[in-house]
Amino acid sequence: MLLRELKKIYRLPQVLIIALLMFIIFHLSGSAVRIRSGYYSWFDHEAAFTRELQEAGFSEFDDDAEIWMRKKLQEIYGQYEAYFAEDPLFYENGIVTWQDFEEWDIPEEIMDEALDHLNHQFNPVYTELTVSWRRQIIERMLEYADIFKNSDVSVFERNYYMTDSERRDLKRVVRDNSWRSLLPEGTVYNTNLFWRLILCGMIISVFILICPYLTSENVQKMRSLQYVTKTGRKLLRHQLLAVITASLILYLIWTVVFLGVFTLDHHYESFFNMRIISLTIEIFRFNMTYFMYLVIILLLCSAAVLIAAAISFVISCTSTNYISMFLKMIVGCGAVCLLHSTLLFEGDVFSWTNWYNRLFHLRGIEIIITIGSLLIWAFILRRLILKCEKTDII
Amino acid sequence: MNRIMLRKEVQKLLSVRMIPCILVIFLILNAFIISSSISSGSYAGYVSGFARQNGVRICSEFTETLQKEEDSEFREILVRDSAEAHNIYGDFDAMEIYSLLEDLYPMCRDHKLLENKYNLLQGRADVLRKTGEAMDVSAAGHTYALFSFLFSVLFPLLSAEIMILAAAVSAALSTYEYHAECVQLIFSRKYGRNLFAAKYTVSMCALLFMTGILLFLSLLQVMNTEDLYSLFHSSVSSQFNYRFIALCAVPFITWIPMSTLQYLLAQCALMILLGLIVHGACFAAGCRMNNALHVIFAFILVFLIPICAILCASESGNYVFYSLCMFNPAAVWFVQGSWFTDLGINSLIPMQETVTVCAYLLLMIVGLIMSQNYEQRKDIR
Repeated sequence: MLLRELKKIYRLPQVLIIALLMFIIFHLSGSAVRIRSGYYSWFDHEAAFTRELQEAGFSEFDDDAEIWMRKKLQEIYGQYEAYFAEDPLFYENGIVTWQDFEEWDIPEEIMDEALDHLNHQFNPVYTELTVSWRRQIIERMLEYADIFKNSDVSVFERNYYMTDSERRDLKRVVRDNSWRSLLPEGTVYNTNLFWRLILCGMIISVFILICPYLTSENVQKMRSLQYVTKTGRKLLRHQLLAVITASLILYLIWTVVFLGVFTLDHHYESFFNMRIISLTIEIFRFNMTYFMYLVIILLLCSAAVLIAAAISFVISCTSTNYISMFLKMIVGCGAVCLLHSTLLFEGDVFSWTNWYNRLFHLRGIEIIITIGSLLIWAFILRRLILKCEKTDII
Repeated sequence: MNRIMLRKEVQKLLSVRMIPCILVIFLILNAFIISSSISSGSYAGYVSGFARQNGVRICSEFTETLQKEEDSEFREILVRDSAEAHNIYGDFDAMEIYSLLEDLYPMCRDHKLLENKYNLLQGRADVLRKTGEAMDVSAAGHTYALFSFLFSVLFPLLSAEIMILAAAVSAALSTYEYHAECVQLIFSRKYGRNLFAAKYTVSMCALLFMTGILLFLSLLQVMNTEDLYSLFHSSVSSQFNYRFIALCAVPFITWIPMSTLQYLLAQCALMILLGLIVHGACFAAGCRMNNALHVIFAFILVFLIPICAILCASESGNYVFYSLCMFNPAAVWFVQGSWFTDLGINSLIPMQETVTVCAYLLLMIVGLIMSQNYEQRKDIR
């Protein structure tokens, strides 16, 4: 029976639409993380630098790692000094060291030329970890390390409005030394960007797949006929089971395809053992490894998919014509996409920047809301099924 | 087609209660988006109020009057913006933008058609230079954000809503008898075969009515929040009005001279035509397919397939393929924020979006006539 119902759910036009949607999301998520320049390249460079650190044998920011980084930084400053001594644009203006350059109030007429010279020398290829990128990454990491080592919380307070609980979190991070992870700054941000798109794709697919399923039976007026058969009254339970199975299969397909892209194309697997609280201004409310974070995101996504399946099942059951179903589907799909992508990925999951976290000041509010919604929809479905089973056939 | 037939069709349409519901949902959504994006008493309102008394053209008198104005934060911004104003079309070089596009998008390299288009654009910029329209305050500095919101966010959203309504209304009426299983009965009656025309008239009128409500209420809310009447008379190609091609700011040059109000009306007109195309196509599809679900799937596929084709074309780097993909309603909708301008690499010919919409309108009319003939000759089984 389950197979028969699944066959009814997976129809060719819907499968085609989902395949096209997957292609579009595949393209967009690839662009978001890999192709687009700017912040995302910064993340790629940090990732490459962290891999370098791992290859050098450092798993966290300890004294040896700091010495290694400072040594590297001095080497880079040496390269800059050697270049300043060669280029008349710099030595004629009295620029000898990197510090001189940083303190130099560059005249506007030569600013572009000076930056061009430096870029040409130290950052010729935008997509690779160049001297310039390496310097910026090390400077940034050491800057954050100094803040944490000196327990200088005021820097954070200048950037964020902090509540008491957030301040306690920050103090705990400083006290436990949990900031010593070398996870690059943009990793979690980019992970969320990637999965946000995919979650939206999953939710849209579930709606497209499930909504027409029972509506077609309603349109063909099959319900009364089904109810008079021996197992007819229980049919809705089987159909619900089929809907859940179909949604989970769809979720698995999306996850497997995009997890493949995620690890094979972006080599995120190198971050799996790192803790997510790291040398960054963003503090999470739970300290866990990146792999654990990814697992939790995937579980929350699966819950969102089940919620979408429940809503589309209700839409499917209650629509008596395709137009109503289509319009309800648009509203439902838009609402679920908006609510869940905001809940999980607006700011980061379990971080200070998460909108819901800042609103409720409650640890794990994302999990509470998601599971709460799931339970509410389970209750609604139970009521709906019981009501249908007791309906009189007139 | 008589009055009774029309009334019956209206009743059929109203029996789908979700259609008025979705209209209300769309109105609430628009109101929410407008109120969260536009705040009253802003800089745009100040510029508009000042322009009402002193004209929209930045000249010596404008600056003198501005200096005498009461000191305020907005006055300072306008003083700064208007002090830097100059005729930007004086040194405008369309070929420079073309070469920038060549660098950014290697697939459009060495295409004579694109080169010809930019030569035409240079001619248009020369006209703008002579008329001095760049000195208008239509989108002076910060006001740009408001017009950008109107033309790049609100209008594409309205277009999407109109197209969804068009698909719903046309699919609902064109397949109504098939789902009610009374098509044989209807066709065997005296005027049954003419029902098609009544259905089309009612669904089109319903669509136009709902489009009118959506546009009127949305624009009314914008106008109520922000007093923009004075800015409507100035040129849309003001020097502050620009759009971004990659990281380069490009002046907003329309192919024909347009004031801001004309631009807004032209956008509304093209938007309605786009809605009518979707409506006509879905109606014809409904008549042929006899199933609302298939019409909905066709509507979704017709939008998804061109998007995938455009993505494939941009990945493959074939500019001819890419340009051909841009001749479809989905692509026209995507570039709505820059309608009536050169559209960067997205168009080969001037006014491409208008040409595309007109071509599809013709196709839609042909499709409808064919569907009408099909209905007239169809056997009843």
